[in-house]
Amino acid sequence: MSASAAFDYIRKTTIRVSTRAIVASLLLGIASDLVGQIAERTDTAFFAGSAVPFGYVNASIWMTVTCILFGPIGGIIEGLTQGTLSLLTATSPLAAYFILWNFIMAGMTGLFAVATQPLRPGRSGLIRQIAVGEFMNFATTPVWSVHLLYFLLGVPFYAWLSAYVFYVAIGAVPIPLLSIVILRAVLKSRALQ
Amino acid sequence: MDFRIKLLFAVVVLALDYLLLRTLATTASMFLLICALVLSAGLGRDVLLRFARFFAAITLVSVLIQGVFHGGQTVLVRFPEGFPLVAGRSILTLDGALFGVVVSLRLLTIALAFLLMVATTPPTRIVQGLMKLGLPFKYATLVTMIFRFYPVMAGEFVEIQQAQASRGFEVEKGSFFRKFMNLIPLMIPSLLSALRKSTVIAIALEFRGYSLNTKRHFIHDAPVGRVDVLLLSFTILLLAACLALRFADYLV
Repeated sequence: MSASAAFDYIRKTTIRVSTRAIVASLLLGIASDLVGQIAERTDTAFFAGSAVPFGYVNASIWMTVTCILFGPIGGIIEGLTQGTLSLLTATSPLAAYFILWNFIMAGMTGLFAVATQPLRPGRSGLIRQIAVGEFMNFATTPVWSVHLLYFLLGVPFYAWLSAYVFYVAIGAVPIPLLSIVILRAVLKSRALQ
Repeated sequence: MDFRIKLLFAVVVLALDYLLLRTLATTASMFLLICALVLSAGLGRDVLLRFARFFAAITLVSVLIQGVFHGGQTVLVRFPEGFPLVAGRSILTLDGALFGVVVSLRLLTIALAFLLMVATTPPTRIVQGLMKLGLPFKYATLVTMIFRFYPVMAGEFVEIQQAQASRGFEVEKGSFFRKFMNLIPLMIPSLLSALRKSTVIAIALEFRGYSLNTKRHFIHDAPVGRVDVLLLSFTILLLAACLALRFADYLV
């Protein structure tokens, strides 16, 4: 695969996945969990476990990148792997819910990535990458935050709204920015050859 | 033991915790039951202590939020008389604080029930269970691959961390927003290593007929045994007992 073919890989997101995409998504899920342990340590240092902005940004970046590269099925495999590993390593008591949240979030973002593919050939896809990152941040955050805060913890609506604003404000720049940096690195490295 | 019966047990615990058990006594009873199962399964106190550390923070937040917003008869803290507009109004109620504890116990019970399900089942049995539930082999077998590749990726991740540290990189250095950027030197090498490895693994899998759409057989099939029947009976009994108590108005 030439550099331009690798570029097409990033620009075109398909629903069907190859064996390689399945394996790559699984390995990305494992890598995500490993980096997540570092992010979680930073969260504990800052918020003593009461908020997880670094963990949230880390998980969202990995899911965004996987969804752009391998579509909804790849994203779901990555998210489920990360959730399963969190459950197995007893990383968080909310790990059982990660599986459900990641499934929905990755599925939504993957479908959005497929739906926003550039129709005209030759477009860079940069705007789409930003859109997918922001979709992951703004549109999928209600899934887990409403379930966790409103249904599980039973907090009032305005307390949920404050938490939602806090997380999307923190993720608004890092998620699309770091996703683009990572996708550029993938392109340069020719790792998709 | 059969994975499907353990999954059923975890789902029943989840449903009971959210739909039927609402008081501190009933939620605490379910929590103690799951703790006893965790200890008898040999998962040890380490898991309980690790979860307790996280839950200390969640419980504190939950007790404060519910104590302030939930309302109730017994007021623990009031605004002083001198305060304009809100003088004498309640800040924290006992009912709300207790509900905060119930919410935290619920989360912990469900987390332990699902951990119990996964941690006490060998990966091959999980695959068999998922396939019996109708998941295609191609996706069910990913569970074994997680166990197979986690140590490999973890070893490589330690090397990446050491390599970056030898270049003077410190992940916990800098301002709050700088720390987000600090994740990049760990993320990119891990991601590229994963993508490179995936090619070789995918070829090896294809050689072994991974994508073949045929009926799969296992060398060691796991029939439903006596312990499975016991757990299934216990699950049905637990569900029936809770439903009976609910309809007799004991679980309000």
